[in-house]
Formats: sequence, structure tokens, C-alpha cells
Amino acid sequence: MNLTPEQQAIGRRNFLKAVAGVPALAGLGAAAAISGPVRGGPMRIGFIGVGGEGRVLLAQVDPAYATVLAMADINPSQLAKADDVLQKQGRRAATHYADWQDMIAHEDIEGVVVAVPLWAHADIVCECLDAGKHVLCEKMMAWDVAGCERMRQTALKNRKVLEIGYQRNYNPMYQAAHDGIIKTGLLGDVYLSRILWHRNGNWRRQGEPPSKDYNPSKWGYPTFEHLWNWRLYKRYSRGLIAELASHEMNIVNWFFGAEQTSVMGTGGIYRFKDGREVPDHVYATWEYDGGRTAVFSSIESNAFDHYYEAFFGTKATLILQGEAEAYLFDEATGRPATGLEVTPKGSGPALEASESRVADAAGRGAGASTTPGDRLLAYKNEISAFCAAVRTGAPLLCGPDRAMGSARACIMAVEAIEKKTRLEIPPPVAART
Amino acid sequence: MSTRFADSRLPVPTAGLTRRDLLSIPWGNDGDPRVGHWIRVHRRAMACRFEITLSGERAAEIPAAREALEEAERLEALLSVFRETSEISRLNQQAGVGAITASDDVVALLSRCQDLSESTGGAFDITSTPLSRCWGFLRREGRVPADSEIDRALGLVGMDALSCDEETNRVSLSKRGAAVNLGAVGKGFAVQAIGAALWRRGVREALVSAGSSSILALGGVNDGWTIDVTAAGPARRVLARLRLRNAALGTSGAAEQFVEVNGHRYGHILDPRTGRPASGIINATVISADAATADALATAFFVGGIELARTYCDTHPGTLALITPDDQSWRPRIVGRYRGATVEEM
Amino acid sequence: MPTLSRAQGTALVLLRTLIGWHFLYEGYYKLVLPAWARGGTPMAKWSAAGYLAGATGPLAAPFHALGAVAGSWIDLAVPIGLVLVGLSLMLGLFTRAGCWGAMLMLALFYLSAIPLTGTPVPGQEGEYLLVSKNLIEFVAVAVILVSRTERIAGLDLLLPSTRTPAATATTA
Repeated sequence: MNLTPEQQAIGRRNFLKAVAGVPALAGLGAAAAISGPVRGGPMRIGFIGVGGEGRVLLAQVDPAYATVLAMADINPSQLAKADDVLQKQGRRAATHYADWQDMIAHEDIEGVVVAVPLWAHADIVCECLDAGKHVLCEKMMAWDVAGCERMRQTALKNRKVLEIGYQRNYNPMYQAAHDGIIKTGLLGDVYLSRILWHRNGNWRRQGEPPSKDYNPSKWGYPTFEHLWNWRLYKRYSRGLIAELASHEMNIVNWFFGAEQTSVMGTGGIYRFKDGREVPDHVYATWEYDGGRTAVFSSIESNAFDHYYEAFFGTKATLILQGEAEAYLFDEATGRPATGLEVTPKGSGPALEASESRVADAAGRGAGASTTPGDRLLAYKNEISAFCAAVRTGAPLLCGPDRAMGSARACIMAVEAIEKKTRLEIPPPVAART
Repeated sequence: MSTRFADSRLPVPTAGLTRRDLLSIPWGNDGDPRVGHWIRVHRRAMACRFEITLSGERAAEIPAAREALEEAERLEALLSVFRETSEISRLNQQAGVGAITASDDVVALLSRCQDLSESTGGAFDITSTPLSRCWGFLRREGRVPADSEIDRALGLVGMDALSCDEETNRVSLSKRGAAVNLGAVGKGFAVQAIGAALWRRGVREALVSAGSSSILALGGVNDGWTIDVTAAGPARRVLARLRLRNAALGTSGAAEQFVEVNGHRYGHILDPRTGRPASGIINATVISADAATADALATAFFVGGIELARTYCDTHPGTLALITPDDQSWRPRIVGRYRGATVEEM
Repeated sequence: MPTLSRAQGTALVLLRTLIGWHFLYEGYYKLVLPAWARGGTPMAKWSAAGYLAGATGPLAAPFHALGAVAGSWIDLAVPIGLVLVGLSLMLGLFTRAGCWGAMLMLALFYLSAIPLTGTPVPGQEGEYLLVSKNLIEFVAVAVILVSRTERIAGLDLLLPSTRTPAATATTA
């Protein structure tokens, strides 16, 4: 059809006017893709291992962030206790599995929480990552350095989220102490950190097998006793260092901003000579660059000191006690300690105003904080951050790189304690990615 | 659900389900544990817990908070009657004898107390120590002092005995046996000083509190800091919820501290005008621009009641008072207004 | 009908496009839920129940009743309506229908919470007395409707019904 130039011009102009709204629509689409919400409901997860620690994590799963579809544990009585946990919170029941491989194969889950004895971490985590699941694995990462490295590589290769359960990174009190006291240089120069975890009691736990003929040997535990008290056997556990020092070393590395360069150790089975293989008293000293040192002790014969991390600086001392409270002591004067407390905001008031109370003068309570620092909140934050990382790529605070520092420190320490000697700790092999 | 007007000309929102109530499902924080928490830096002084509250993301202000708290100790050394070397103790020791030279802070505070005493008709009086001593028998021996004992004590009470020269910083008490006690205003003054110290260090959003009876709200995001005024005692009731922006709060009450003798309840706050324990009010809370004033007025209105509060607030704009009468209703009457304060529905 | 200048036409089309964007994103957002904010916070499925139960003002009662009905058709109808209106206004397609739809929805939103107190409501910004943003947007859409922007720009221009000899000469 032949159009005159004027008709063509009018046609083109009209066409442009007609599609005037399309670029705006494209703009909206692009903006929504970049900044808008990411579609997806709560993450679907399964638990591998619901023993003591597993159940703590189970109880702290925020239903807005994740739904627990299934749980796998080789001990059926643990599964029953886990059911109670879910029921008490009014959450949906999770399907039981004895073998975690079954769970991975049959359940439509996106990720797993692994809370099994230490020796099994590396294998289970790597297989789950290869199966396409994101993993949150309990500390201390793996039984040996090779296992830790394997986990890290497998996560990278599969491009899945791997987080290690050092929940203190998510404890707001530690965050506040780091940002407000360490980073601001309030302590001056710190040469010494003392970390300890003292208890008065037998680490061996009593327990009943789920049934008379219960036999866990096919999973690597010759008897029920080996499974129930796995922490006391060298094959499965790295002892007090791995279970307790690892948390505190994670904090020291974080606050020192460095990784340890050597470790000295001693210890042994001094009080509970009941056939266990791991020491009940351990002492370790780690050295860092810049003349800094961290000393650690964990004993099973006295609980006076409970547990704390202390940083002794030229200007002040910081003590973080029981994961709940922090105190700052001035070096210069005899001033009373300054306390630091971090409490969740909640929906209530920032403070309550009321007449001065007798309790105030006596030194009890008062002030307005009614809830003490809640260490369980750190677990909740940790799991929530894991889910957020999977859904939106939000950054993690304790990925494999961060965890490896503490893991290597502890694994080398166990060796040093065994040999009662000093060992150099070589710097990490692979560069951080 | 109704609109509360009471005596207030404040914007009191209509009640009813607000959208925020229905949609206030705690989704959890943004994954960052620093948001969604209060950081409380605290230290003991003046026999109570001084505390600075910062929002979680302001951890970098912890050093400033720690330094600011030193004001509490500095002022305690100047003001405390429990320390022989404090300026107030020296002033009392020299009562009827001579004058002492005091520091700027103390002179300013004493001078302010004189003004407050005048404007509250004597309901606030820092020279009432002799009265307290007289009624001390009540607590120790369980007997009410005789009228003659009260009259004798009243003779030693009175702000006219205190003279304060702001030029030379010389202060003195003219009567032997007279004594000054800053218990009713000292904490507020310290809270104000801490707030000023924070401000000088660049902190703009914080809560300062001493015990829980004197509070300073610096800044206040959204509608302001949320503070619940509660009556202590066996039934911990919330009397009102406040939103404060750049405001100071003082509260005085007698729900907890009282002595019962022969079936009669005697509060621990005395009326310096009559010499007898104040009654009729269960809680007096005052919001004003200055924490020392708020602290002092809370005591004054506790003693003087709603009438005194009305008189004062009418003549001193920028003062808000919540006076809860002792009539089992637990409903505070709202008097006056303060621009940075909102009273919310319970 | 007096002709509009180029500036007037552009302004009106721009207004229509922005209101369309507003509606479209509101609808899209509600439909994309359950979702996660980029910062890592989960947000649950959208429901009108909260808004219906929270209706205030003299006409609150029918809205409360609507909210009590456990029907989820409203939860789907509102977002889809928003999306359709938004697309219509942004693209300038079936513009008149889109305008009427927008005005209907805005009228409902306004009537469910007529601001009578003139004082701030906790949890909401602004102080409104009778005139709220919904009312303003309602009138803005009315302006767009009577200005016949479908003849100025938009996909309606490709529809034969819109193209009349008089219309094509409307803007300079």
C-alpha cells in the first residue's frame, strides 16, 4: 500500500505514542527484578541428627524462615524427643528417617542441618552438598583439617551455601562488644586473652538404648555406649577442645583479627579414669603475631569460673561471661565496672519508668532490662541467616573460611596436648574466596 | 473503646484496632543481629543503676556512653550526703556557722532548687532532712512522731535558710540543725549531665536512666522512644505508655515503700509544708525539658496533688504531668503538655 | 473539545503512567508474596483480612463483615485488580475501563478508613482530615479519565475504536 510521506510520518508518530508506556513498564520490571522481593516461602529443611545439640537448633528454627519437613537420626528415642520439641511449639510434625540418605532421596528439602558426632561431619556434609542441598553444619566443622578443606571445596564446587554452627557470631552481645569495644580501641593494646570453660562433673552421660536389641554397629558404633558417649572416644570426637574451646577460639580469632601461629598443650585423664580416650583436663596456649597469646583451660573438677572470654588490654579489661553479660574494667582507676547488656527490642517499651525501688539500692536487678541476654537467640539468628542466604544471597557471618581458623587451631591443639609439646600452625593453604 | 481527653490538649489518638496492631507480626530482623536489639551500658552510682540505652546498630557509641557515665560518679562525689567530703555534706556541717565555696554545678543546682521550691509553693523542699529524721522513728520503732516533735522539725525546714550566691559561688545554711538533701533531684541532675556529655560526644539517639525513676530521652526515632510508666508494687501495672522525643521524665510513687502502723499506711514521701506523709496520690510522673526539674516536680506533684500540677503547668508551659490518684482506679490524669511527648492508649 | 497543548498532554500521560506504576507494583507485590526482602527477611502471603478488620470510620461495619467471611477470593481479587488496572493505565490499553477500575478500588480503600480525627494514628504517617492520599489519587484518576488520555498516547491508539478523525487531531 502506498502511503504519502505525511501519512507515513503521522503513522510513525502515532506508533511511538502508542508504545509510549512500554519503556516505563520495562523500567518497572527491571527495578522489581533488582530491588523487589524474591519469590519464595519459608525454606524447606531437614535435620540430620537430633541429639542434644540438634534439638536445641530444632527448637530455635523460626517458622517464618524455615519449615522442618523431616528428621533423620539413627537413634529412634532421639526422634521421639524431637517430636516433643516440635509439638510443644505447635509446629507441624516432621517425618522420621533412620538413614539420612533416605531422607535426602525422598523429601523435597532444599537444605539440611547437620548435628551428628564430629567424625561424620565431612562425609555427610559433602554428600549432601553433592546432592544439591544447602548445609548448616554444627561446629567444629570436621574431625581433621583434610575433612574441613574437603567440605569447603565441595561447597564451592556445587555453589551451595555452607554455614558452620558457631552461633556466637550471631549473638548480638558479641557483635556489640566487637563493634563498640574492640573496634573502637577501648581496651588499648591487648596482649593476653584468657578463655576457659570449667565444669565440675563427669562428661560421661547415662542413657538407655531405644530397645533391647538396638545395634548401631552398621553406622560405625560397635555398641550403644559408643554412640551415646561418642565424645569420649578418639575415633569420633576431639574432646573438650573441639566441643568447648572451638567456640571461644572463634571469638578470639574474631576479636584479634588474626589466626593463631602456634599452639602448646598439655592435659590428660586425671579424674575420671573410666576407660575414656579423651582427656578430662586440657590446657592449651595459642600464639598470634604481634606478641599476642590466648590461654585456655577446660577442666571437669571445678566450676567456680564457669565460662568466659577475657581480653586484657593496656587501658581496660573486657570480660564476656556465660554468653550473656559483658563487663568492662578500667585499668587506671578503681572505678566500678561498666556493664554491657544486649537485649532484644521486642514489641514492648524501651524502658519502664517507675518509682525508685528498694531493690535498686540493694544492688539487685532494677534498671529496665528484664530479660537477660538470651544466648539461644544466637541460634535462632544463625538459622535465620542461613535461610536468608539461601533465598536472597544475604551474606553469612560464619562460612567455611571463618570456621576453618578455629577448626585448625583446635585440631592442632589436640595433637599438641597428646604429645605435650609445642606445634607450629601453618597458615591456611588456599586463599580466601 | 473511647477517646481519652481528660485534662489534656495533647493529640491523643482514637482507640480502635490500628493497622499496626494487626499487622505487627514479628517477622524477625533483617538477618543482621545488630538491628532489633538494645545495647545497655550501665554502672552503679548513687545506689542505683545508671544506664544508657542505645539502639543495636550504634555499637560504635559505646565508648562515648562509657565516658558519659563518669558524670554520675563525679556528681555523687559532690552531692552525696553519705560522703563526708562532698560539698553538700560540708554545707550541712557548716549550717548556722558559715558559708562554703561550691562548684558551678552545685551552685546551679541549688539555685534551681530554690526556684522550684518557690514555684511549687514549698511542696518541693530540699531542706526537709530534719523531718525525715523525725519520721525515721516510724521505720525503726514503729511509732508515729508526736506533733511537738514534728513542729520542732518543721522549724528547721525551709528554703529561706539556704542562700546561694551565683556570682561568688558561696552557699550557706543560716540555721543550726538545718540540712540539705538532694535525694529528690540528684539523680535527675546526674541524668541530665550524662545526657549533655553524650550530646557533646556526638550521640543523638539514646536513653539515659537512673534506676528507673529518672529518664532522659535524647532524640527518638519514629514517634519517639517508647516508655511505659508503671506503678511498682505487687501488681505491676502499666499506667500509661509514652512516646518521648528530646524529653526528660521523672517519676515519684509510693506503691512499694510505705510503713503500716495501726492499720494506717504511711508513705515514705513527706509533705514539707505539713510535716506529714503525703497521701492521695499513688504515682506522679512529670515530663519536661530537663531531668532535674522533672525529678523535682514529680516529688512536688506527688505531695501537692493534681491541683498543684494544674497550677504549675498553667504557668509553666512545656510541662506535662500524669497524676494517678490513690483511688483504686489506676487511671492517670493528664495535665499540661510537652511538645515532644505523646500519651498513648493502654 | 478544546485541544490540549503538548505540555498538557505529556503531563497527563505522565500522571497516568505513574499512577499505573503505583497500582501495578502494589498488585505485583501482593502476588509475589510469600517472598523475601533482599535484606533477608521473609514476608508471608498477603491477605486483606488485616485491612478489613482494621477499617475505621462511619462505614467500617460492612468492611468488618467482609473480613469476617473466611473467603480468600478477596485476597486474590484485590491484587489481580490492581495489576490489571496498573497495566491498563501504564500501557494506555482499555484506558477508560482501567480508570473506572482504579476509581472503584480507590473509593473502597478510602471508604474503609475515612480519616475523621485529624490526628496522627500510631503506625501510619501523616495527619489527615477527610482528605487522604486515596482520595487525592481518586480525583487524579478522574482527571485522567475526563482528559481522554487514550487519544494522546497509549496502545489504545492502535485500536480502531479510539481512532476517529477528530481524535487524531486532538494534540498538536
